[in-house]
Amino acid sequence: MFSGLPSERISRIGVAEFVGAAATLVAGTLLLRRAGLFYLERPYSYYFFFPGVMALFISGWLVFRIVRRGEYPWVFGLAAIALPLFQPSVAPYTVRFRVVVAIRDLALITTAVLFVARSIRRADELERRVHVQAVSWSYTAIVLALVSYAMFEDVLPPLHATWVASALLASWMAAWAYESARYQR
Amino acid sequence: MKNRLRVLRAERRWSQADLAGRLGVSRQTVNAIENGRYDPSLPLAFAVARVFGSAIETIFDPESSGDT
Repeated sequence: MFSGLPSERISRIGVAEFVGAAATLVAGTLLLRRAGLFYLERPYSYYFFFPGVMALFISGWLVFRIVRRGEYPWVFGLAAIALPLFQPSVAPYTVRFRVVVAIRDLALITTAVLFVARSIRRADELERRVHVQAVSWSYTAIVLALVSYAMFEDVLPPLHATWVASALLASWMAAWAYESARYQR
Repeated sequence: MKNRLRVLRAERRWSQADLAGRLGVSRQTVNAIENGRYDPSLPLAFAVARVFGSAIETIFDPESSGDT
């Protein structure tokens, strides 16, 4: 009887838009980084700068379409990709720049959290249950991985908090998709 | 827990989306209940009974258990 996608929170167009938004987010960020490397040689800088801005603009437009339809689980996936990309912990350390970046990140995170919280509040009882189950086993898995890492911390490379946050978001989304599908088989 | 949701819905020629709209839940939730994948909460079970104008025990069979 299962005649569609596992949740109304995931539409086919939403899948395509998520992939597009993720790809253009990565491409745009990497292109702007390259533009930064060549900023003294203007022609080279322009080759990367304008396509980079355009890619980020397309990414933003696709995210806007996803949010407008209320398909909030994609926000977890995009945040998981964006966190390591933005590398907030290695941003240039000048006071003015850090303040600008902090305000930008605070605005982005607050908007995303409010949107997700409002969406979950509107969710029906099955979807809330799916979230509880998804969070319980995905976060348990991450905690076990962190405990294992802690035991070998001396011989392993340092672990950035950004990666941990990204893993939490990504595992939550993956677990949510799996749990949603499990109820529709 | 088995139930007669699909039969009752078919008698009224309602789609899953129609029933979901009347219950204020998603179509996927109706689908999960019909397939026995999810046992509804007591308030939702009462809402189902009210929509079909039947008693809860005539719609849901507590003797058969699902895997939720």
